[in-house]
Amino acid sequence: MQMLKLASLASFERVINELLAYDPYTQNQVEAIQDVVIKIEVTNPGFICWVHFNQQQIRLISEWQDQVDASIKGSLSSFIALMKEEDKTQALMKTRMEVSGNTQLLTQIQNIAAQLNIDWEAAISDVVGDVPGHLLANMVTQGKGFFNEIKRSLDHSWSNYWQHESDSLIASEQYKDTASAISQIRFETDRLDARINRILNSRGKQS
Amino acid sequence: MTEQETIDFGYQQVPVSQKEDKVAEVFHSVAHKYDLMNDIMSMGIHRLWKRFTIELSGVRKGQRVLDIAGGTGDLTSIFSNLVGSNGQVVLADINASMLAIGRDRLIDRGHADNIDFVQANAEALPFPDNYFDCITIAFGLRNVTHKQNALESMLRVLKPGGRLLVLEFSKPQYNWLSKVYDEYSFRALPVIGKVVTNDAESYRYLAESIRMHPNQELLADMMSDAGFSQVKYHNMTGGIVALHRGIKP
Repeated sequence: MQMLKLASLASFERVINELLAYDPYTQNQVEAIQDVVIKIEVTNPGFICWVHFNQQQIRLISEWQDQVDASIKGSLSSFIALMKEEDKTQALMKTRMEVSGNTQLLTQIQNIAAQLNIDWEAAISDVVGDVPGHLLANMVTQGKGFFNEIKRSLDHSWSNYWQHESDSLIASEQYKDTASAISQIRFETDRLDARINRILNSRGKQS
Repeated sequence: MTEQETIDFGYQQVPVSQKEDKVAEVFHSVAHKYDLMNDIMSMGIHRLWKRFTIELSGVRKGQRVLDIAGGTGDLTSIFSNLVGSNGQVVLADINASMLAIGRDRLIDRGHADNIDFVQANAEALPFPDNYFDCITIAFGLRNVTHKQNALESMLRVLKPGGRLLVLEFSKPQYNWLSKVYDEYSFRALPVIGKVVTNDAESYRYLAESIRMHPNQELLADMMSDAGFSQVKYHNMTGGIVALHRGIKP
């Protein structure tokens, strides 16, 4: 298992570093994080690895027996949720991940990962040549646009169906208005309750 | 000639004074195709064994590392990146041919500013006391004439808290693996050696020297006897190779 883990991490590390080379800005950001080791522990399924930021390279380590600068622990679903969430601090609290060490460092790394912008056309061109690379990149971009359009259209159709055809859901604006009205009533009820209590207290004092 | 004056060279017993020269002959003969043979013999797995060695070394920026029997310099090149421009890596090998290949290759790859090349015998390392943060010896210890002396010499040049990593062939943990491994080592290896380097004898020596090398427990005891503490070993590929680690107290 150790060899399998080593081989997997070695392959993954190679892919990451090769892709990083196509985003010089991120590569420079990585270089700025000097000689830092972070422990990543996934609890379900169980998996531990260490990430070492060394110059412009990222090392993935299967076994590290020294001090780390920060560590983060949580289930796989928590890590996925963390990557998706824009507000990382809130995501950390919501997913109940355990973070220790230099947490600012983790935030810095999350921000770098969020800004990752790989020049895919250059990456593809380096493998297949300039002209086929350009054509392939165009196809990928167009394909991505095509699928995004399909997704948007499907979301819209489903939303229409649930709201208008089946009457199972209310419109989003209607929901927001209702929720806001309920919230307003709740505040007003609370205030009224407070005023009644204040009157009752003052009467109690007078008698 | 008395029994005390001879030592193993593979399965042969040779005068102590001759072992160094005989080992040197082996490596002079295979130096030019050493890495290719390693890839073929181990089916590329030696890269993972070495990768694990680097992981356990825990080497960081600014440290001093000694790579003994570093040969063609594959560990040295990675250490050079890890220690950075403020650190230092010394590639030491007793064999001039191996060292020359390692030096040329590392310079060609642009690793020149933080690496020193030293032709040295592991039994009498020419460095000050308490000098290195980490020492590695990968597939070299079994060729050393007096292993205990070499371990003591390594201890001397390590800083307190520094670590020694010995990556070496060892004893397979399973009987079935032992049998397969024996067949492979004694039948296939010399043939591969003959085809690739035109030298079957050197690879017969390789197989024999592995069998004569101390097993995991014995090597751990030798390290403890030399003065290392917290000695541990990790078996890899079923014990075909083991990585021993000891700390200088």
